[in-house]
Amino acid sequence: MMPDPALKTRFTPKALKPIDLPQQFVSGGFSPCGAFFFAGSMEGQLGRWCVVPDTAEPELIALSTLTGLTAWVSVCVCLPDGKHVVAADSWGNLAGWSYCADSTEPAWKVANAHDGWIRSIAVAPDGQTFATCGRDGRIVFWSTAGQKKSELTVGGDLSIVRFAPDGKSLFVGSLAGKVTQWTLENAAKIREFDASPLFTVNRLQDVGGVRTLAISPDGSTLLVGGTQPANGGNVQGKPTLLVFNIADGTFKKKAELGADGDVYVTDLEWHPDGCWLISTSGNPGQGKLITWRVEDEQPLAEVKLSNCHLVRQHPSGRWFATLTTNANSNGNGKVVDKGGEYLGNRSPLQVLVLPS
Amino acid sequence: MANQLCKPWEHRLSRRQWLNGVSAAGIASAGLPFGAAFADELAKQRKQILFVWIDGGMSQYESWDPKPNSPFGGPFRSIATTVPGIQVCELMPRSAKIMQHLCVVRGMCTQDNSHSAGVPRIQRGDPKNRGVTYPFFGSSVAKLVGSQGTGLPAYVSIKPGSGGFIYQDAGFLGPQFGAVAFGDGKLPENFSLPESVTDADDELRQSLRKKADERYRLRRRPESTEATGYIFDSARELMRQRAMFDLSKVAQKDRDRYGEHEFGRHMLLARQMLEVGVTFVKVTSYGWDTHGDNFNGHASLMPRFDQAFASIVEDLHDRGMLDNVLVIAMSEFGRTPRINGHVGRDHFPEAWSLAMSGRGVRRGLTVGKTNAKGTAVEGDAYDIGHMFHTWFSALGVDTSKTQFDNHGQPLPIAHEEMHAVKEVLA
Repeated sequence: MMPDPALKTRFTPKALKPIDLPQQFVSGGFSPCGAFFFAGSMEGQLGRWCVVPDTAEPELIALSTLTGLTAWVSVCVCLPDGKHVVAADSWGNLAGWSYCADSTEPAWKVANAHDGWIRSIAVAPDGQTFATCGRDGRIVFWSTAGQKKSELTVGGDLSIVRFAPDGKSLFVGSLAGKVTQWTLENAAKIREFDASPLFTVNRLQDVGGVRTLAISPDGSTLLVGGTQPANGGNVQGKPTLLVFNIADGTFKKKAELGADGDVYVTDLEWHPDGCWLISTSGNPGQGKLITWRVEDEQPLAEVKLSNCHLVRQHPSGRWFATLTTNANSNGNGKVVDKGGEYLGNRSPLQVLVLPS
Repeated sequence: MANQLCKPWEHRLSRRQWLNGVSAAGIASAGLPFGAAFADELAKQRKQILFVWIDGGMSQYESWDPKPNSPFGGPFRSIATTVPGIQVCELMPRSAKIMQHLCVVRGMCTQDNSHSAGVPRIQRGDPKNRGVTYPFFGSSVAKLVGSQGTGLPAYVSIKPGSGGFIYQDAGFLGPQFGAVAFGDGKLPENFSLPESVTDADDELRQSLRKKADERYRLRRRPESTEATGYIFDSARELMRQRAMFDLSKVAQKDRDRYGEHEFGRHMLLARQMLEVGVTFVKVTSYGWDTHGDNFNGHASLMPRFDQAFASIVEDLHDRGMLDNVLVIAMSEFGRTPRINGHVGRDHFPEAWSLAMSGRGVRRGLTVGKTNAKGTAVEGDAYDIGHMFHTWFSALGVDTSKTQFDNHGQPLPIAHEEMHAVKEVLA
């Protein structure tokens, strides 16, 4: 059905002035209290900012960077205890910090927690356990103090892991376009969800796969995001969501949220007022922040931004943010500044608000 | 081969080449007692090239020149190789195990950052502009080295998609030095004799064809009939060797080693072609232009490349062929240090890598280097002209004494202001 015009107005976000972050970041999140923002960089750092309270528009003040990881800090998650942040890197290292402490060193660190790229972390609803997954095809369960509890080998390049809201099962997505649900009690596979439209093999390249997934708060619906890949190399395809009934695994609908150059649905978060916040990223400069409901044929609203890699809500509920890439981020050959220094890109943090 | 629209001049061939073809075929078919020994000796002296063309631009960061934990280094680790001090990206574990056979040039700096101009410019050696179209490297070798008595085409291309005769590669050398291309690694249709035609029938047909050629020659330039004859003869030799195209006859173990994917099959066919003596075998892999999703792209591209590339180098070594076969694996450029909003890397000719092995090349080393971030070459930078000098030298062709003859116009075979890279040469 078509969205109600009043709903469209309610869920049309307004983009505020972006906050410039000094390098490129690939992961991020707010602390439960909303006082801190963290972002994992492509340079082995976990940036930490203080969110200035009670300002008309959100402001961030940079704090000392948390150290201890290498290469890409590919994922970071704040634990619900309100004290710790956990992050992992693309070399397989995992670490936890007490983010209120002065020290920038991790409180604990597990080297080679995975063989290579750790792509996702999910915290169980009870807050006592978190799970990691990555390119080595394993899911590993950890205590919040970084003690390994158990592991499950699924196989393939695992891109995302999420717990069911009841804490009894786990959903895992792979870059081969597979989604599986597993019981936590005995690690048995419950079912598979067919996300194959999000994957293809083009010549030598595996293209697409599951890039994000989310479960509705009532545990009834599974959303799987990615693209319908048209080709390899310079990947093109429509950003796409697949929706499934979790109870029986049946496919409910497919939503195409852009044109071929918009490419990937990169992230999903449920807004408590009743819609999904969706980020997309495609060709350089092409990205969107979309508000959308499963029951509608069209998005409630979309804001065009430059490559949105993730979306995170501030715990206050007053605003949310998406990590983007600066405009003009691409180009062949050598790009240098006036001093001859080779230029990299940055990740402006785009803040958005919904009408109150 | 069976292009009905081609002209006789497209098949022009030197008398010397034609005679070379006939001599070897003659020895083999005559069953002379010294034939086997002579063929062995010929094989030992053979000069061959395996040219692996990675079309679109392989990322040097995710392959031969990793910069782990640096601003533009990407997410992957580097791994040790069999040569102490040399590391490659973790996505190529099998190449890491054969580094003792490889020579990696990390100091490439070329001139063109577009595909459309860059691909031919690189493969023609980017010579000085004299208003003529230079030949691709494969065509140059076909001219300068020839078929070496095999009777087979000197320049063969194995590529995805369609096949045919790619005469454009030959530039001013003339179409006869173009590439015989096997699309998807398959023989052209109707390449087998009909069952109703016996070998004796076929011999009769050929003698009739040769008589017709003789009559035709009386009123035409002899090159035309020689070229036509060469094409017929090399086609017949290919027909005799057609079993090599049937990869189902290759041991399953080898097929698994190379990979059942397109590139693996094509590299395995390349091995077969090198074994029967084809001088220049080009294998093309498409799909490397990773402006978007570069890292997940290379995460599947590289292991498949690695699998087949390492397998063929191992096999050439194990079969004693690596001293004869010059192996080159390269793209038209590398990829940018900076990572764009589509998490891709763009075109970067300023600092990139290629890999070599085999004939005339020192092994187990890297030559040239880039700075810590990979944004520029430090020290000596090498253009493609340097590589052409180096490759010709590795083949025993003296670039200071050898010239092309373009209808009376002498032309250097490689950029005359460049030179061979001595550190590369054995």
